[in-house]
This record gives sequence, C-alpha cells and structure tokens, in this order.
Amino acid sequence: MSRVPALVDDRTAAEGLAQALVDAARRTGAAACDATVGTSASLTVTARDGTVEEIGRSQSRAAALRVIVDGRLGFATASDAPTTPAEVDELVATAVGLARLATASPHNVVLPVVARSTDEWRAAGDALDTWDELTAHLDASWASAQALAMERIVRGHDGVTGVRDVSASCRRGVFALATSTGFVGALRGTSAALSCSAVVQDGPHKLQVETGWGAARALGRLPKPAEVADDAARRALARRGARRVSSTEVPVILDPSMSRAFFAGVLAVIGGEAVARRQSFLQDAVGRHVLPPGHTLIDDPLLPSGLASKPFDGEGQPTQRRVLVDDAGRLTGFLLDGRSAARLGAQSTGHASRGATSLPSPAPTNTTLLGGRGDLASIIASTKRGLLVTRALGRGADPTTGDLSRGVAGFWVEDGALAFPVEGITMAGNARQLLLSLDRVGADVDERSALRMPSVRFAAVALGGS
Amino acid sequence: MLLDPGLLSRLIGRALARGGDFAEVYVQRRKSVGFALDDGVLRDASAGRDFGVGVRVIRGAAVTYAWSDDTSDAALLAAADVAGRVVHDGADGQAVVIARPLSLRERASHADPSRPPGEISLERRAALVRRADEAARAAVVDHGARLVQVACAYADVDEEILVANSEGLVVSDRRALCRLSVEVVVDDDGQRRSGSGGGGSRVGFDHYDDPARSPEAAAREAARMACAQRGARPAPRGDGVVVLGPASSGVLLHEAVGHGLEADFIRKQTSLFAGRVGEKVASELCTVLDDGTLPGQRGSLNVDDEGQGTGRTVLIDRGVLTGFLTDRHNAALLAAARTGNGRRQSFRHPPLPRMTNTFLQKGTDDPDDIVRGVRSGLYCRAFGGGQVDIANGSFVFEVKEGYLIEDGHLTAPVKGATLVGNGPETLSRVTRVGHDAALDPGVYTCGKEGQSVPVGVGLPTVRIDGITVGGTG
Repeated sequence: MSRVPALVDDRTAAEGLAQALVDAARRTGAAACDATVGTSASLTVTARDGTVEEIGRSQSRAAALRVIVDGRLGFATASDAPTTPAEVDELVATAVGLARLATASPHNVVLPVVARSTDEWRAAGDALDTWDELTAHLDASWASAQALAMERIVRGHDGVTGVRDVSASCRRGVFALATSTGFVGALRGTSAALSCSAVVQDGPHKLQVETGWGAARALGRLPKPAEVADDAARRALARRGARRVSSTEVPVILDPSMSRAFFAGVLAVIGGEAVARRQSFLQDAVGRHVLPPGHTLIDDPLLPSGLASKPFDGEGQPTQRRVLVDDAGRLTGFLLDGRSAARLGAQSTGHASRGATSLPSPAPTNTTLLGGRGDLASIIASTKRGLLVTRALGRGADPTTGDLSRGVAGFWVEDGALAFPVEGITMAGNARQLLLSLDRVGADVDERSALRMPSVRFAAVALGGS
Repeated sequence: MLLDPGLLSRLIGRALARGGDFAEVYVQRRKSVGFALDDGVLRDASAGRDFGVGVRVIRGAAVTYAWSDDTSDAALLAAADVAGRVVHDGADGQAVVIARPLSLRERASHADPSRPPGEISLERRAALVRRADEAARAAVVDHGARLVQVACAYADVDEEILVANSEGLVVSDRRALCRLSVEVVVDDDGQRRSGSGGGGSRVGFDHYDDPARSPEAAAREAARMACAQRGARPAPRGDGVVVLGPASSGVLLHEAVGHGLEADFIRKQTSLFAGRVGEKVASELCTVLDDGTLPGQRGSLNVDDEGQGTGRTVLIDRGVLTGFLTDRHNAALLAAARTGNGRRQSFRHPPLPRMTNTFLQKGTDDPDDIVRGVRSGLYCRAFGGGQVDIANGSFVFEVKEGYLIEDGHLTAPVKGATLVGNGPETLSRVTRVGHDAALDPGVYTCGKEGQSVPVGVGLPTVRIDGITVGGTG
C-alpha cells in the first residue's frame, strides 16, 4: 500500500514564494499588497459491500496575490502556483491590471503588523499543536481499514438495511502569508475524519438515514470506527415510525449538532462583513443583552489542537481569546478583519479568515458557549412536554431579520422522556428572540468541529404540523 | 490539444499497468474573472487560472481517482501511477485491458459560445456591474422606495476540457459560462426587504445584448421584487393550496425529485425511487425531463465530463417513473443506458451523475385561470434556499417572494414562509399545469458531495392541493 504522495508540508518554500510574489508586486508599483500560498495533500477512502469502493487522492499548490494600487483592489489567483519568475510576473500583471478597473476605497488596506520574525511565528504555531506527525503520514491502508471496519460494524446492527457513505480521510496542509508591511509566516495542520451513515427501511417507500462522524487534528483524538458506526446505526434505528405532530408551541431542545447550526447563523451576523453590509439582525446589539445571563460565548483561536487554531489571522494580525458575549449576556463587539473594521471605523480584531485563493473575510475561529450544566439527557429529563430536534432541513435564520423557519425532525418529549420520533414539521421564530429565550444550556460541548456547542433548550417555539 | 496525444496514451497505459477495467484522463484549463460591486463601490476585481489533470481507474465496483495541478510530465505520470494502484484483494493484478489507440471524436454543438467572455475586454465586463448598479438605484426611486443596499456581481468562466480513455475516446470541448447577479435591499418601515435578479448562460457575452437579459433588466427585476414585498405579512401556517409561479419554481422539482433520480443514489439503494421504474410516482399531469442539449442554457453541455454526448432523458412520463440519470460507472453497475449526465466540478473531482436542465413539461391550463380557481392559498414566485432528504423525499424551501391568494386574486405579500413536503407526495397532488413552461434565467448552481455544477431548472405554473406551509403567522 502506498503512502500519501510526496511531502508538501514545507513551510519555508511556501513562505519564500509568498515573499517573492510580494517583492515582484512592489517592484511594479503596488506599494500595498499581500500574497498567500497553500499546499495540501489529502486522501479519502470509501467502503461498500465489504470492499473498498473509492480511493481519492489529491495534491495541491495554489497561490494568490492581492494588490492595492491607488486605493484600488485587484486580486489574482492561480491553482497551479507560479514556479518561475515569468509566472510570478504574470500573476502580478493580472492583479495590477484588474486593480485599475476597481473603485478606489479607503477601506482597502494592508494592515500594519507587529514586529515578529518568521521563526517566532513558527514557534507560536507549533505551540498550538495543530500538526500531528502520525496523522501526517496516514496512508490508504489505514483509511481502508477504518472504512471497512465501520461498514462491517454498521451492517451488523439488526434492522440496518444499507449504508450511504462510509469514509475515512486525512489531510495535511500548509498556509503561508507575506505582506508588504513586513509580515512573513506560515502555518501547518493535519486532520483526520471518519464518517458513516446507516440506512434503515421505514415502510415501503421510506428510508431513514443517519450519519455518525468524528474529526480531529490528530489520530489519537479521533473516535474509534465502532463508536462512529454504532452511533449512526442507533440513531437511524431510533427514527423508525417517525410521524408528524399537530401545530403547537412547546419548549424545543437542540442537540449539540443542531445547536451548532443555530449558533453558526448567530456568529455569521456578528461578522463585520454582515454588519458593514447592514445585513445583521444583531446590527444594533453591541452592549445589549442577547443571551440570558450566566453564559459566555468565547472565541479562542489559541485553543491547543483546535480545528481553527492559529497564532495569526489571514492578514498577519496576532490572534487572541475573546469574550463575544459576556456573563451578563451582553454582546461585546463584532468579529472584524481589516476591511470590515475600516468600513465600521474600528480596529481589526484579528478575525480575517482566508484560504490560499480567497480574499480575507471576517469569521470566528474556535467558538464555544460556556457556563452550562448537565447534558442532553438531563435537559430532556427536566422537560415535561416538548420537542428534541436532531435534524433540520433548509437554511437557518434570515441574516437581516433573524426570522427563522425550518423543517425539523427529532423526538417528542413527554414527562421527561423521549416518547416517539417526529418528522415533517417546521419550527419558526426569530433568532434574536430565541437566543434570549434560552432556558437550559448543557455542558456537553461537542468538540468535533471548530464551533463547539452544547445542547440547549428554548422556552417556547412555534411548531407547524398537521 | 490541451495535452500531447503521446503523453495521454502513456498516462492511460501507466494507469492500467497494474490492472483495471477502464482508465480515463481528464484535462482542464480554466480562466475565470469576477467583479463585485457593493454600495456603488467596485470592491473586488479578481481573476483566477486553473490547469490540472485528473486520472481515474475503475476495476469492478472500485474506483481510484488522483489529480494534480502540477502539469509536468513527471508529476502527471506519478498521478497515473497513484490512480493505477486499484485496491483488489491486497495483491497487484494482471493488466486485463489493453488500451485502444486514441482517436478524436466529433461532438455535437448545443452549448458553443458565440462570444467567449475571454475575448471581451475586462473594461466591458466590469461595465456590466456598474450599469446594473445604476439601473437598480433608478428603479428603486421609480418605485418610491428607500434604498438600503445594492450589491452586484459578475463572474465568467472560459475553459477548455479534454477527456481521453482506454476505450480510445478523445473528446475536447470549449465551454463558456457567464453570470450576473443583482441584489437590492429596500426599507419597509424599519424592516428590510430584498429582491434579486440576473442570470446568464453558455452563450457567452452576447447574452447581455438581449434587452430582456441586460444588466438594466436584471436590476429592474431585483428592485421590483424587493419593493413588491413592502408591507409583507407573516405567512399563514398549515396545509393548503399552493400555486407555484413559472420558471424559478423549478428548483423545487430539482431538489425534491431530481436528486432522487440520480443513478448513484439508485445503485446504493438510498433513493426512495430505487426499484420503482414503471410505478406511478406523480400525478398524470406531470412529465419530467432532463435535457442537456437545450441551446446555450446554463445546464447545457456539448459533452458531459466523461466525453459522452448529452441527451434528453424522460424521467417521469405522465406520472410514471421511466428513467434515471447516469454516468459511466453507475450505468455499468446498474446495466443501464448512459444518459450523458457524468459531470464534475473540476479536474479535482471524479464524475458523478448530475442533472443538467431539469424541468416539468408544460400542460394546457391558462396560468391566470389557475390562480383564479383558488379561493384561498399561497402563490410562490421565487424561492431562496432549499434542501432535500433523498432517502425519504422530504424537502424544505424558503419562499423568497410569495403572495396570498384570496378569492382568485393575488393580494398581500407574505414573509417567512417555507414549503415543507415530500417529493412524490407533492407531485401526486399536482392538479393543474399551465402552458407557460419556462426555464430559470440561469442562476442556479447545484451542490452534491462537495461538488458544485451549474444547472438549469424549469416549471410552468402549477397548482398543488395540499402542501405544508411553515410560517410565523
């Protein structure tokens, strides 16, 4: 069995190319500019019917250059990063040519950076434990074994009639940034993931499908194949016989996955981009109560092994732990990158998120809701009558108004216990009002993604059913 | 040619060196340009270039796919080696297939650009968003509304692809795709109402010369939609009669029915349509087609991403399920015909069975008559996001522009409505189909397994008796 192809985690080479792009752009008169370089290798193996179904491998080396000429922004990307001086010059010429067509704006800025050497940034990155040597060297035999094990285990459950996607994957990558203000630094990271979905027949023309999954920076933190497969099977089997309920208004519990989806919508509108576009239902909420007191919403880019951990952001700004909603329930501010900060007349908060071929935009890093007690089971046990939501269809809240109307499925709760599975109904409300109506928050934070959320309960939500 | 024919043959040979039934090389060179204008400021001007090769090897039901954006001979041969390591019983097999000599195949011409965007100056392309912005501002004033925001974006792709495989096929194609979008937000007594307009096609830049598809027309439509929703009331909740307006409502069909008819879900038995060909799955008023040959449409292609000519596939004929959409691999495993629906986002992705332009065929009813026949219901003119659970057919759609129907007339606009239902159940409740069939203006991108491809959707005016409306009213 083969190894993931040639190592591409060379931070020095990526830094060098980013710096070369910046140097070339400055030579042509683009005084303000920055360049990104990303390299990655990934491997995915899927299993079906006891054999390996698909093996996918990729290797990538991409670059991008952002120039600001007389306040005008031009941006050029190349999926096959330049390898010769002529190719570097071509990318520069493209970006500069485009800038001439754009409108000059004082919001186009390359931010000044703190004086820190490339080596110091490297040490700061290493301290965050985002790279795991074992995970970096996982190969197709590892992925095949995981996928085959999950498929065998999930099919071993009585009542499971098939599988949808069963996969194991791993990835490693490097991201480098250089700016005309003197920043040069690179990050590297590894990750591995398992996913398994169980199919259960539920009547003649109906199937129930549920997916179990896990993801982590390092193999050691990944769940075992059996945990993922058992979870998928258990949840799919529990959905058999799901039915509608009549329209009503009851307490609604979100499991950690649904809670994550809800808070993703909330975090999107405290992003400076949404606020600057006036498309945020929390536009006027800084300093105001947005959550019941006693819980804090924290963004922590310096969380060890975090899936979104980084010592500097996509514009070379140092990152720091930040309280987004304080324990009095007040929103403390917005997540800002250079442009959204300039538009709002504020300072960057170090939240520029950026891929190798994308412009920076403000986004949260590792975010969590603290101050909760108990877990999903204890929240269910304390609910006389209500709905536990475990699946949702459709988009979340409208960013501008906060109005929310989604198709949901889950379980009816009666006298503190799950009574029967529910599907085909909607929940509706306004996200800002729902946030304030949180009356239970668990401590059962789900660590499988950067947005680490616990189970929560809203006091009363309108359900639309039969 | 994008890649030297000698090198193509070597890559296919290397990919099959350890055995396999089939090998394929996909080469893609793409140039893209985009402009974004917000609040009158041309904020971003961006350009990207992309060149890479994907190699696929199939042996039985197993597929290996490797890609590289390093296009040196050595890197490509290495990718072919990686793809050639098809997993089979832990041992290397014998070469069971000898690749046939490559011969260039002719292709049809359904989607050739008359003027590829790459041949138009950047200035002229950037001017589209400026024209749209200006027109949107003027239109909002004409409606007597207060403007909150205009956002315009233009993006185009000009690309060449080449497919070569061990069956001796070589096909190349040039593809263009343009898209303009305009988003207008107006004030409604402190609340915001938004509308969108725009579109595009594979015709190339000439698309925008048509006055009905100009940036000005797109801007007027966005302003109309936003302004029409002033005074919107909360949507009523519960089951009722819904009339879907023509064209864009086709997204409902795409999500609620189309995905379940893609051959991979059928093969894996995870679609509720699996094993039901010949059964009645919709009202006899419903005939559903997928047609990749419609001239110049957003979902149209001369050949799919496996080099197969696109076609016109009847999926549901007067209510009876008649077929699926296939790619090469799933067609072979299901012993079904290939329909030319093997599509991929780029050389970084293996092909999957995907829709092209999917629509409901027109009926005989007068659209105004359909509305006049409804005493109380909801009229949906435009949809926002939607999602479907393929296993059981449930879907949810946000109504972006909707109106109450009261005594046969459209009355107040509604807000916050979602349609919740089940694909086949909903199609079986179709009681009237208009004669006003139309495709959407060319705005939809379909996502599946992390791959996005442009598609067209279409529907005539349709009445559905009994669909759940989730609302706040």
